[in-house]
Amino acid sequence: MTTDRYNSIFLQVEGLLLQHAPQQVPIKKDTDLINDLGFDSLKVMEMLNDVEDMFDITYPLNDLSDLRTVNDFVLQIHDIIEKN
Amino acid sequence: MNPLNPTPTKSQLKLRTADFSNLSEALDYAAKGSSGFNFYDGRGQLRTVLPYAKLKEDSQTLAKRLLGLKLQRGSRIAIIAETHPDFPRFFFACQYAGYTPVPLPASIHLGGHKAYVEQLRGLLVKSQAAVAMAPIEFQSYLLEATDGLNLQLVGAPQTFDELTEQDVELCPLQPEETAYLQYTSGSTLFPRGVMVSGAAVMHNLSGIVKYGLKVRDGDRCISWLPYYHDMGLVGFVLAPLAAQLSVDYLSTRDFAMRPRLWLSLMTKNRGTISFGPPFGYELCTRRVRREETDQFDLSSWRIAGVGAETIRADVLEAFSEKMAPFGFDDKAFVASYGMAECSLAISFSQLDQGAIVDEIDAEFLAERHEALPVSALSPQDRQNCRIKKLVNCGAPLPGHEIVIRDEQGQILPDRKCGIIHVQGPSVMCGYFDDPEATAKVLSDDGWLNTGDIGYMDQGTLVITGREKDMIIINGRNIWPQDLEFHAEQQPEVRPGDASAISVPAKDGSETAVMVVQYRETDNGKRRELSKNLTRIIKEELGIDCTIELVSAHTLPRTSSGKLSRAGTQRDYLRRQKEQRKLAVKPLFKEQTTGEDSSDLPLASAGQRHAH
Repeated sequence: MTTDRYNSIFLQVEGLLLQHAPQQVPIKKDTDLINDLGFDSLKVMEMLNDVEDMFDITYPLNDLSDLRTVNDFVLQIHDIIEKN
Repeated sequence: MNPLNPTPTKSQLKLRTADFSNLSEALDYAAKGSSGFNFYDGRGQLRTVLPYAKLKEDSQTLAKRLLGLKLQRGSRIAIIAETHPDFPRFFFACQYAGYTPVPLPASIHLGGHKAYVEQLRGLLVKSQAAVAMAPIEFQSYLLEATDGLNLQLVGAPQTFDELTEQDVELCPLQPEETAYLQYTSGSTLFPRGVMVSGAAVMHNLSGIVKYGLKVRDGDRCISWLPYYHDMGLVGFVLAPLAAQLSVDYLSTRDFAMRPRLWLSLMTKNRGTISFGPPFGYELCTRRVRREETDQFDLSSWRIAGVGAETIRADVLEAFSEKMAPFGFDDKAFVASYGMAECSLAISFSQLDQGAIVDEIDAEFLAERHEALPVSALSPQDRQNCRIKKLVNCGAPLPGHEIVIRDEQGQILPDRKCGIIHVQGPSVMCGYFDDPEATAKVLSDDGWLNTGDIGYMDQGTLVITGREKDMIIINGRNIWPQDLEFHAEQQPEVRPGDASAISVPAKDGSETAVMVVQYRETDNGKRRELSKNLTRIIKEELGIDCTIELVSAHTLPRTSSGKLSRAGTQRDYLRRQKEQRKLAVKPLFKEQTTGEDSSDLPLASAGQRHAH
């Protein structure tokens, strides 16, 4: 993935996270969705709804189980887009 | 263009209200008609149609393949219960082949890979499953979970479809055999498998369709409830099938992501029966935007069932207020009470009445364990009293009896609060391979101690709380032992140093709190431990948990030295109240006044009462 591509997904993800995160902290690559942003099972679903709409993808439920950081999230979204 | 059409609402059969001797017979009959199951995706598109006729044919074929495994009759077949046509196919293949299906959770939390694998493994071991099936997306978790367990066969549906079909006569599960094992809690550490016989579940199904829902021609069910939950499985797979009704399914995940899909599907397919825990209704109220509600027509919805967690009148009011312009009639609300230990349903409130709310004096209930109607108070007392609104859950299903007992086992009169006991033909045979746990809740003469607290009012039941320590968050049962276990895994926390409880939030919902004894005084280390515990619990159980660190010897114990969770809760609330008093500053005055421990919903009073 090119840096530009990464940054572009990152920026979009950042916007969504800031909109949905229960705790407001600056979003960095290693920001932890649970620890730093305070997401729980329901809130994360609300955010995924917007992620799916924004990128026009179907986020596989199981990817959630290995998702911890913003970096993980950006990479997952990139992979899903690529597979499409 | 979508070439698929959902199964019709009319089955073309004479309606039979679950008067079958076992589940396979119910499917044999439904298969003669044209109704069935329909599966919708996260965009609200119909993906798969499974008429009962095809379900019967496919499950019988699969049953003959499974028989090639030469398993002992009654062997447990674990099925990861995702909302997918393969679930009913495997479930009914077990019915036809004489095996016991064990639906396993298909719920994955954020960052919860390891926790999910451990949970599956625990359930596979406890149920002594002989084989296990997971949909392809869940394969990797199942393979991890079964590693080293020596199951006879583990695989995706395709693996089972490659088995050779045996040329044998099928001998379906009989009424006295266990129809399925239902794991009631998501507990990794203490899973208890409810054994429900064919006869018990058929009794319950007929009670549900004939008396609870009074199913009639033209009914159609819509469900997003998980198949591994009793309300999802018994209420929305088995009950509609036993009454030849079509069902439209959304996966729980898709509902959680887009709650409006539930309402769209009700609108599109003219659904008449759908259930949800209060949080489902709340999610819709919160997430559906007013401007989009004009797409909905909810006028066909005649039974909007609610159960699975404490029913809050305000949640129902908010939902009906928002949905009323779109034809939702609040008379459609039907409050229900039930549990897997009684197959599913114990009582339903009367149809077409809406939620019947008992307004009682909260203080009186807390202190005297008696439900005093506000209407019985003098106007002056009424003004001064704190009113508690409880939703009436109706009368028990025919053939079932409910009594309220005090802690000595004495039966209590109307409006006196005590432990709810149930007896009747839908009660389970016991917990699988766990006579000790069974003996704790099931008496020799067949009375089930539900562990819930409530009172009777002229033959109808009102729930006020729980005796057992379970914490219910968004309809999910969370066992405090699980939370405590994860705390005790930390090197800083010793066994017996953590006590997890449910604490009422201001809006009446529950929150999980864990009080942990910790000697360390260094603030950095204390913050570190709190943060770690919060994270672990979120990963393992997917819930928010407030951590309170206290000094050693703070946690109250019972006379036998065990942790007293009721005591922990009482002390925690007292400390909160004291802290609030200390924190009162003019700026925060509004927030702190009017809130004291007397605001406690009755769950806590029930717990005090029961111990």
